[in-house]
Amino acid sequence: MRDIIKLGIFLMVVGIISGLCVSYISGLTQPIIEAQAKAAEQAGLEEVYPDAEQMEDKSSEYVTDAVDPMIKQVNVAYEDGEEVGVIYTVAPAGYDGPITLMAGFDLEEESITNIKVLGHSETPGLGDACTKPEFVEKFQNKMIAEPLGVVKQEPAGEYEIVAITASTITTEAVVDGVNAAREHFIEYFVE
Amino acid sequence: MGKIFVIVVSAVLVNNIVLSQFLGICPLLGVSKKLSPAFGMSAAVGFVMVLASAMSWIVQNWILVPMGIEYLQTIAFILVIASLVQFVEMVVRKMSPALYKALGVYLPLITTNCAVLGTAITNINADYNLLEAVINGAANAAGFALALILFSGLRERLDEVTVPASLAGTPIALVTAGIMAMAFLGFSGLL
Amino acid sequence: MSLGKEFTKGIIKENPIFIMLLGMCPVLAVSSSVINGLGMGVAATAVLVASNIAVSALRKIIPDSIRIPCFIVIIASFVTIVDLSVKAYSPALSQSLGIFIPLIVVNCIILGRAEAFASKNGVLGSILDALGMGIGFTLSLVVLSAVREVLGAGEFLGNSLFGAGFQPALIMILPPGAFLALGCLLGLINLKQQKSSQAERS
Repeated sequence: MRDIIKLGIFLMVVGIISGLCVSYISGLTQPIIEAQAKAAEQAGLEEVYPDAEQMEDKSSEYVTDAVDPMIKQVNVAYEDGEEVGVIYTVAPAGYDGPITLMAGFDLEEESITNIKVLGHSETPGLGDACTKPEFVEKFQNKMIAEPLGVVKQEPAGEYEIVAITASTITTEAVVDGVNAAREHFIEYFVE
Repeated sequence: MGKIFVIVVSAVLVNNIVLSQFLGICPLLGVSKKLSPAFGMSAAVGFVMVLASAMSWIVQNWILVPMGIEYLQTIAFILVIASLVQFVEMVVRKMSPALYKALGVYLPLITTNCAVLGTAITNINADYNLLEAVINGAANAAGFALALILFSGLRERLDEVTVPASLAGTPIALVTAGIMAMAFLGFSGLL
Repeated sequence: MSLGKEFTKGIIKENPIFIMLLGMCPVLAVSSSVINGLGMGVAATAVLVASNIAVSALRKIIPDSIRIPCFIVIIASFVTIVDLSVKAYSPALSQSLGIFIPLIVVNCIILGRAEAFASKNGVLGSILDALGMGIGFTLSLVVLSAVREVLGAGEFLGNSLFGAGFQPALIMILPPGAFLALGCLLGLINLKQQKSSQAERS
């Protein structure tokens, strides 16, 4: 019995010492991890909506139960205190799990400024082409008068996106996400 | 209900824990030479995995998160699993000597089975609630059993055929697993 | 055994992946690109060296009957430290390796070396043993992931190797390719060993 207690105490001491070491390291790295995450988010926002003076996270105001569940975050871009654009973070269901992407909209032009895929688990070599510039460019400067559609081959109409070869589901998912953001944008910002 | 269905189909077929997530490869190669140990191992893993899913979820959400020490997750989970395995071994030995005879040799191996720890961490990363976590644990255990039992069936047959001497043993087993993984690839996009 | 041998044995003669077949899960999972393989190898080596040092230094204090739980706690702490550091200094790598960094805890190579070597040998020898095993692990991972990346994506370290006309064998970077590539590499190694042992006999 005495042995068991002794061993138990020893194990506990080992556990406490390791726990303390880890908390010390965690204290050192936590601020860096947070700063990294923030910088990554800021870089994403700037890439999607390049010329904003100021951005503000308005998710608590705009992401309510009434909006499409795909919409995760709403950031508003300001210039001289005026709303000029909105950047949405949406997570539509792709071929193999959710695709998280940002889509930026311009209030004056009523168009899509840019999109950026943040995370996905699409098939390497096929669906993962959704992160490539050739695909992302297709969304730039599209007007928002009509929802976007997907076609399998060129030529694409004004409101159509040509699907990534052999990855129509991935393309449709991205387009779905952008359309959900577009609908929210029209309902809450344009009108 | 829909979400639970998705979790089960995804864990068993689409993202099979062994053939597509690569967790639990050691037992896949180690105890798949004959069918009966494969059944024993699957049962033991299933048992521990369901319990570990529940326990680790409780530890994470009732202890680590309220105390703000989420960074101790890895240490806490491995301790939970190790003590759980010890506990299960003791209980099974007392309660059912027959079951202990069948599972006993596999139980100690489970502590270092990455499928169990992997499932526990996935449950937290995917933000499951307790019920979903337990179901995911059970579904992953079923996926593990499916892969292990099918694979050991194939390996029993493999013993009977002549293969080039340099491929005999593990190499041909890995190639066989590759072909099985290819078959499971057919399930992707099912959801 | 001399200290030099402690170091080199892990690289070729007792290579953890190709000869001892240990730590297969991360090997198969993260070998879809060379950069992932390299990152995983370095992370595992760091944990291996640190845990070997700690276990070897404490080997006389740790009671024999609870050594395995103690080793696991020590390894888990180092894994957490590595995990946090990777998250802080290389978020992209942390994202692509994902769950496999915390899973280094259950990598059989690390517990195996702690139990088989560090708990019986001095600190210096344990460091060399860990470095050798770690380098062997990293090299094998790089070889395997190079095969997969070149065949499956036509790239090496992200640089395209062939012209646009090259159609890569996509299957090699998908899960089945991991099993196929490792199986074939092991077959080749066996073939070479059989040839050399035949040559010795004749």
